[in-house]
Amino acid sequence: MVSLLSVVINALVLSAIFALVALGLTLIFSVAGVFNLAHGVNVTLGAFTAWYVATVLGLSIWIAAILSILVPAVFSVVLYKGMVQAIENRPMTVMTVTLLIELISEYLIRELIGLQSRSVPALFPGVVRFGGATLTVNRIIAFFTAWALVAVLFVVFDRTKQGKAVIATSMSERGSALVGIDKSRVQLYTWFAAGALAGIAGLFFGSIRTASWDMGLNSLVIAFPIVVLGGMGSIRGTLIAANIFGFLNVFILSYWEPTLARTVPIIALILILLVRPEGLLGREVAA
Amino acid sequence: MTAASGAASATDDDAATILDIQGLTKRFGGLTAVDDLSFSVRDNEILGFIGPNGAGKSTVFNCVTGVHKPTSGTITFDGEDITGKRPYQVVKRGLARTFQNFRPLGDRPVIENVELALMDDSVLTLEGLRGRTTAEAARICERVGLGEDLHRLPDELPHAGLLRLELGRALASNPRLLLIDEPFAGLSNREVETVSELLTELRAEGMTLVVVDHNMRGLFSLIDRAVVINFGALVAEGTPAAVKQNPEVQEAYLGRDSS
Amino acid sequence: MPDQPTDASDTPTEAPEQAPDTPEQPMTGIRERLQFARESISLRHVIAVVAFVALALLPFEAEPILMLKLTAAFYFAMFAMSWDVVSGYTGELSFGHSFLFGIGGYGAALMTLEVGTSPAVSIAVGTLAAMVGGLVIGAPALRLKGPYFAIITFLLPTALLDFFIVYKDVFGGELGLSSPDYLVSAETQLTTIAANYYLALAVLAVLFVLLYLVTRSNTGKIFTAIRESEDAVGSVGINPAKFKIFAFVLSAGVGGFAAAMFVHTPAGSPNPTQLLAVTVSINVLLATIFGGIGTISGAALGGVLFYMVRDWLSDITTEIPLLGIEFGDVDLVIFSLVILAIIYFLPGGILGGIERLVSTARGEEPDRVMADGGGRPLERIVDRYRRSFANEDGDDTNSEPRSANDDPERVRERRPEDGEPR
Repeated sequence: MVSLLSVVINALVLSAIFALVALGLTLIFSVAGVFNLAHGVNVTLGAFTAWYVATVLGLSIWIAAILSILVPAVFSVVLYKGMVQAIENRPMTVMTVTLLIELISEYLIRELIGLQSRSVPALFPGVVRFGGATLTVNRIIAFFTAWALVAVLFVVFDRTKQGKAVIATSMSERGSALVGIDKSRVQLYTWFAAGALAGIAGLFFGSIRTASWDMGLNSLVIAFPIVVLGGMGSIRGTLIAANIFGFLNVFILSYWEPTLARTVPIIALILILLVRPEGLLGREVAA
Repeated sequence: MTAASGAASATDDDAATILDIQGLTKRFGGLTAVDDLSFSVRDNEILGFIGPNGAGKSTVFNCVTGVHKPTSGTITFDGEDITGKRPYQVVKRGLARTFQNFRPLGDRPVIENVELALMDDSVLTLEGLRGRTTAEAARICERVGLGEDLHRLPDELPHAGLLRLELGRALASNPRLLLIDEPFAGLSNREVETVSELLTELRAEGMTLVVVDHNMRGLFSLIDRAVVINFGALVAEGTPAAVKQNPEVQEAYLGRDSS
Repeated sequence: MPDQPTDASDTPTEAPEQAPDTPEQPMTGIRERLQFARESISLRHVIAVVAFVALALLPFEAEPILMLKLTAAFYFAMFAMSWDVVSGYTGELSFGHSFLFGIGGYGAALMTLEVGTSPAVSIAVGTLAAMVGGLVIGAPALRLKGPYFAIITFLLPTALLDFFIVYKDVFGGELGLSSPDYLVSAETQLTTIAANYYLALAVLAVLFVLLYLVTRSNTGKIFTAIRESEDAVGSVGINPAKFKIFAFVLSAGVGGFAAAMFVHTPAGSPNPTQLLAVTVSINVLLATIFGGIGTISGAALGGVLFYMVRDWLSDITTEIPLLGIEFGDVDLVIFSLVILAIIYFLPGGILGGIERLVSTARGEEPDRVMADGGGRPLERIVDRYRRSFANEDGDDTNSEPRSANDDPERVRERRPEDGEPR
């Protein structure tokens, strides 16, 4: 039996990583008004970029880490500029197109890399003991990095002009246009940030668990319940929901049936949508 | 449907009531849009339902036609309690409305927009393959003055045309009582006349009409009676001339009668 | 006038160019429209009849393996048609129709394998089970906005597959169940294959005619009206919820029946890859977009073509330069790219494309070639969702047209009432 303490710590770490994925999804939704079903690609790209650079090319894990942030961020921006922008006021086409991109990427990665999982080397090797539980330093770093990024995000939205522009656009496109905010620039920031956050999440997934060809779709399956429960566009709600589903995920994995770790969030999502579609802290208009 | 009767009968106090609204209240959160409003519509009259912008007219309409659920109060149509019924149920009972902001089906021509209203609310039918409703729809279109535009898409219609389409759509559901939301907004004098004529004709055929507007000027010659509301509550009720003399009405409109 | 038939083939010989005298003005318009409909329907009819005859004659020439593949393609086309009823017509985009195929196929197979009923009874049970599944999918669609509904449908088959994996003793997990007895079988294998081929072709034809009639009747026009505006449908005394549910149950019935038949043929068996996987749902969507969404005929044509072309692609062993991958291994990727191109450049699908070519060649206005009423369904669906999102922007100063739902309590419409009290 795994000790409860290590399960809880595991859940905290995983929740923080889930939050990074979900935040990107919810940011894009609130600014662009679309569901980006290709968001999972960013996670996969982050993980496999890190793996490729560190393991195949044999370069420093730090170079790998930086690239695993940049590559998905650039991919995300290119996706927006190249495909989504032309159809951005047709949300359903965006969903279909991004879903196809997600599937195409997934199949390509499966063909290029194969079915077996890869692991990304730890950023900081070593373990610490804490109250009877053994923890890798890597997990601790992942946890604190994720929350530090969330804190940075808050500061950006609160203090910087660009961040305020993002918030303004998410509240009222027309209003923000009236005060001279350049919507397409806001979109670029958002898609870049969403890609980068998901890339970091992919890097951490890869070094804590493993990188596999289907990790993108799998993280999407858990990110959707998180953003819906959190309330589309609500950062605080997303953080709370990420922890709820993170704990749920880890507890089901550890104490129940591993397959259901994916099923339970889906069932939960359906129930949430039927009972409280505006989520925990969502602005009601976003329902 | 009652036989055609003259305009005079509508002003008769003994005329039967077709729509009765009692104690209607609608709150949105903390805001009371309609406050304990009671009035009734008599069979075969043309009633002007008047109030300044924001008086609660549309909310009343929405409650009557089932778009909103009233917070309290009862709405009786033709002796039957229709409070809280869904829009389609209300329409089926013979109470139709037009919308001020038109909502035609953009994917099909005018005639098919009207045809939709002629269709049965039944899933198990192959009706429509033989075109029974097409001729009827064409007749209605012609009646509202869209005879030339049967195969135009709604997007191609001018404002007045969309209003006619709204009327045609509502008429096609064969109502006994028709609520018309601002039928004259944005129309030229000549167009106002044509629409007024059509409405008078409909009444002569036995239909009851409630016409909403934010002022009475355009309605004066058309309506038999007027109900004036402001801040969601009844201000005055009576013949157009009497209502116009009412000091409270004048106060409600002081400086507001903009059009 | 009341006898004026819409059925193009019955239309008498009045030429549309006949000079209209004044009182006949509206009638002439109708005739013009009928004439117009006749041409675009007849092209479809020609394609359908030619394809059907060719397919009916094929077994005299074909290898058994090709017949098996075509049998599977026919069932796949039925899946696509069932998807088109819901997504193409009512505009509720489903990313997870395989949920219904899974229920129908697995349900029927389990009846034959475990309960021991005859295939015919099992197929009936599987179909009914799928229709119940259609109710389950349809219910949230009454309350939720399209994009949220699409997400739910996307995830439902995954949840069902997980359930099948957890209870693999009953459902066979990732590998699926063993094949039940065939519905029809003959003494030789070749005859069995041919019999099943004809059975599939016949079922495809019957379901096609059924769906074609439903979608061309008033019911179909109300479906597309729901796609445009549910409120408009409610405001003329038609209950949109009833029609939506009907569309879902009809779709589930057709899809579930096809799946239940399919597992009782030599061409199919109850396993996730053929019935339940995410790719099945996506393939159905791709095939219908490929053929032309919202037309039924596009789904039928697209379904058969998609299946066969993919099958052909998957046998190509040529390597893609630079990547070192065989074409056949990434057939779905190639297809997805083709569909992306269609979404961006040919929203009417190939059927729409053909018709556009033909009508342009005839010098007609190429815009209105769809037989079932103006505008391309893909664009109409897209519009529907654009409107549902536009609600949130708060730039809609009069609440009336949009908040006027058939259900005012609907949670998704909880926006400030800005219509009257300001």
